[in-house]
Amino acid sequence: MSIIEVHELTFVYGRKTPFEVTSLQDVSMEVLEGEFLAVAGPTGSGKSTLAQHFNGLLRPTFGSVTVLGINTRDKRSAAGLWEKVGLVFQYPEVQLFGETVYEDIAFGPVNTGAGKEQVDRRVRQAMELVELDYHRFRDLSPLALSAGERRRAAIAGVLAIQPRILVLDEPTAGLDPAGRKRLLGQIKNLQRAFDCTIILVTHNMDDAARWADRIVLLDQGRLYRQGATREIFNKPEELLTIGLDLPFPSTLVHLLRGAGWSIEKTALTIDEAEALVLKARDAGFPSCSANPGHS
Amino acid sequence: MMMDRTNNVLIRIKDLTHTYNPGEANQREGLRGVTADIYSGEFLAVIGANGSGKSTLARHLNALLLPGSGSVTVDGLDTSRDEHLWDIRRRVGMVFQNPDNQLVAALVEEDVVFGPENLGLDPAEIRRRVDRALAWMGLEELRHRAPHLLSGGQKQRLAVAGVLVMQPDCLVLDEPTAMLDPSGRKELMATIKRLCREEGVTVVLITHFMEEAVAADRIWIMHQGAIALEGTPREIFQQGSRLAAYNLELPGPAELAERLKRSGLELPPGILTVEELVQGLCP
Repeated sequence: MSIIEVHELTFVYGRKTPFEVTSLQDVSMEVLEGEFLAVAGPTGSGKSTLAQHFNGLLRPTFGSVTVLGINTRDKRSAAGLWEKVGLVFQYPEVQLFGETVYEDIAFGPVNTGAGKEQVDRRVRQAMELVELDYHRFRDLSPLALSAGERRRAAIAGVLAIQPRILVLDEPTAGLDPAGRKRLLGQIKNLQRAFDCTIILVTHNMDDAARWADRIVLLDQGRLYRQGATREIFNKPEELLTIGLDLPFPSTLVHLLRGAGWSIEKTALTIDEAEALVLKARDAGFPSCSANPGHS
Repeated sequence: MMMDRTNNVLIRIKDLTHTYNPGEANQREGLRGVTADIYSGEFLAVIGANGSGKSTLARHLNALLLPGSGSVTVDGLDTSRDEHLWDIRRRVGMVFQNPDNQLVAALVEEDVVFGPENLGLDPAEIRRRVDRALAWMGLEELRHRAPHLLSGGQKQRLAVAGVLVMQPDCLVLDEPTAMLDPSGRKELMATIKRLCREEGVTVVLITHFMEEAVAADRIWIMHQGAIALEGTPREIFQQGSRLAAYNLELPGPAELAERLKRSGLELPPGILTVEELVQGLCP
């Protein structure tokens, strides 16, 4: 069942000014309830603009966006979307403003009109989800945290609203590999444990391959492809033409196919790539059999 | 490429420490005794977890930060001496993660002219340098555009051009590709490598992308304010699981090669790229 429907969406920045730029053109796509969707595309493809339509922050110039049954053009109903659709911008930590981590994370729930106890419960839960220890961090200034901790505190602030849909725009930019894996693992858990629908805006294909159920690809403001993650990465040429990369496991499969291996489904993770190579070995490396190196 | 580099030191770092907010409640050790040399003409990658001291170290290389104790010298010039400041900043140029913070002018060309004009160079020389820097970064056709209308990759190339035009000996890049898409990343990395090889510019690249570090001559791993490991990419990435202790991971191909070897496959040592892995599997 779709939770967001985008129908022939066109968005023009600075309309009727000399700076008019069409950022999205005629985009139709959907987000399914409970899925982990990656929205990918090169810089300037319109990814972030599309993401800002999901909670009514931007409204279509033409076409329509329907979120949880609400048409975002309907200003009055769409105003309530902020409680249901959490939007985490790029470098969200620059928006931390509270004196303490607690105050910052509590801001959202306080504004939903929740009582003190309920606010407290939500803050604790949000901090637990991003693995920030409540007692250690609650009274610290956000400025005293490391880059990864600050990013997670900012995301906890959005989680504390308990949104049904979570939209994250390049949440891992600037994080180290361990921090990146940890954060995306936590986001995946949200999807599993709370049926939260996740929309990840990224140009990191390794992240998309590893975590997303489906991918929507944009190029120059238009919908380029949408489909299951494995289908998308099974057609390397389509990605390479628009300047995107394949994740490493799919690149390997692509090159091995070129070397004569017959591999039906592409690999998305290192685990899958490992299994695939070991299976080929057990079959005696059929395509490399002419070579004595693997006897 | 093996050469005797001992006579070839561009930047010498000796017992360098840096403390943030000394004497205050939130005092934090940024660097705890770093001693190392950066050689002229090399491509050095610095990797390490968030908070390991990479960016702090980078800012000491052109006197944006000054030593708490110890010293940093650039071509013999001590960064803690005021009279060397401008000479050091001209020799060691910095490029940061977010190019929006370092573009200053209304036109691409003006942004590149800004630095050399302030050096008081002769106009013909400025013109020559600006043309060359724009050509190097592939920005000639964009010279009359407004910087804020460029793509992320173009902006970052412009930021590099603005540093390059000063003809620095050393280019320090602090996660320059964090905001770029894959093709922007590849383009910038290729240009940086070419600058190092063809123009002899020393490059210090701070990065979280292991695939970028693989392209360097040498790698430092920073951990808790010190250099924990130093070596060529092959030496570093043969450490395998030891890297996890530094919050790092192997590049994908190295990780998979390691696992396959554990399952009994014969593969050549030191695999770092997907091409090398395919060659190992289909020799």
